[in-house]
Amino acid sequence: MNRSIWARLRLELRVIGIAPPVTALAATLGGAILVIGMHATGAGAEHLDLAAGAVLAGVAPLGTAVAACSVVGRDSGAELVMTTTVYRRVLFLRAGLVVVPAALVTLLDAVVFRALNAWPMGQGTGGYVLVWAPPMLWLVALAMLTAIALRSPAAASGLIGGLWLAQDLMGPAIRDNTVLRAQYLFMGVAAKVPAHQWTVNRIALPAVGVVAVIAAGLLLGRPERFVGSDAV
Amino acid sequence: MTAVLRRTAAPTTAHGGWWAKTVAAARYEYLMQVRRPAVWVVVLGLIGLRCAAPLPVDLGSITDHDTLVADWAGNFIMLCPIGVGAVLADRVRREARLELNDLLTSTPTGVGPRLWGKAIGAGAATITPVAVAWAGLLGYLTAQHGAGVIPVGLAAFAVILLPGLVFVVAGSVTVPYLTGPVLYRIGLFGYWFWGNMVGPRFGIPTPAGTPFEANGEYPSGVWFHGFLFDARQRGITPTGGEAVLSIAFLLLMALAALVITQLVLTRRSPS
Repeated sequence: MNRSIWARLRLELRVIGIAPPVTALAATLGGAILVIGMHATGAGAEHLDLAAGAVLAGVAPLGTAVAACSVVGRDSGAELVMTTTVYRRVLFLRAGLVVVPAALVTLLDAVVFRALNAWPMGQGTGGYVLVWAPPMLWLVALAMLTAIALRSPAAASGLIGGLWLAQDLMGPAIRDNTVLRAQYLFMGVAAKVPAHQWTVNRIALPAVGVVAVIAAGLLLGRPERFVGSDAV
Repeated sequence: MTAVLRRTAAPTTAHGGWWAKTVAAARYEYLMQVRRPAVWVVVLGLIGLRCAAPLPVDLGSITDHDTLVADWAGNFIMLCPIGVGAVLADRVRREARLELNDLLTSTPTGVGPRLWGKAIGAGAATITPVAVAWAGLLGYLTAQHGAGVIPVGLAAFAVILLPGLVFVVAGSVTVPYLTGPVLYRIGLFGYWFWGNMVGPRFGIPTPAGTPFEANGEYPSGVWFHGFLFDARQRGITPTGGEAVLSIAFLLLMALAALVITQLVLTRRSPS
């Protein structure tokens, strides 16, 4: 990677501040420390599996999504940025600075959990990625889309957090519905899931995520919406 | 210019007492927050999401006003506090972000009235959509079950919904001074899930099902015969004293958070 790209990444990191990437990392690392601590103190296998699943499929994706959408609306002089570059590219680059490190650390979490035998029931080697990556992409994409559409990271955080909590609380009802089941975030850690339902779910989540990213990109085609506005 | 020279009485915030300054700050904070579309979208969205989803208790079969209202309150408070906290958290560092701190410090208002004004005003504004939705629900229930629902509904709002919301409001205008809004939001989601939803059956130490939870389960169960989720799992039948303790705990924690924050901010303030 040449020096200008590093300089650009450092500049964007300075604009968004250290808080969003550190927050995303804190969620996934904090969860890993909890699981490792439970393992060290001799927690039961069932509780270890549950905790590992909750960190990979729940805490890490939510923390990353809330942190990623906080990069929206950070430019006090947005119009100056827009005169020199494509704002869509800038915002996606900033989100990437939050999401990529968090995703890599979550992958590392998965490797460590498997080595500790703290692993969601029924997940094979594909679980290293498929337990956490589809819900992470879904949550990050929808959080970014909401934050851009409403020009408010606060609104996006609240709605995504509520949706995440609602999915967890109403898991059985969601799994009974064919359409909602495909968008169920915790299918990777749910017990006794038929293989075809699991496969559909793992494909449908990233598919919706990609659609949300495209929609966010289209909305960013009118970046002037971000000029001169305080958080709404 | 003439108008300025003729003015004999200074603005209330210049010479008024602590309370007058706080009321003035609260008024501005209320108006700023209640006009934010995000506040209405998030809070009403989360209430709507919970009410549209399958409810844990079959509310259609309940005829007793107390139980009916209490179980609706339980549904309201399940998700909306995280929305309230999420949209309040960015108010904390707003002045710093807009580089207004020096200007505000130069005014005679002081740290205390600004903090309490923010808590009261922005907090009341963020609870306003909850109150509006609750009023709408009471109208619907009145049409179905008669006007007897209204006084029960008002009492339920005061003792089931409000203490938990006040607790979340106080946390949301104080803790982000320490953590920043992003980390606070994640912490709030985690706390609300762990402290109110993760019952004792999961084997994790949690306040859920004790008087120290924030979802109003104790007042609901004791005074309105509402459904007890986590307390029942603990084998507890709450008493009136425990319901009072539950409310007092939330309000005292809210008070403590604000008082401690005021002390810290006053010590840090250059004025």
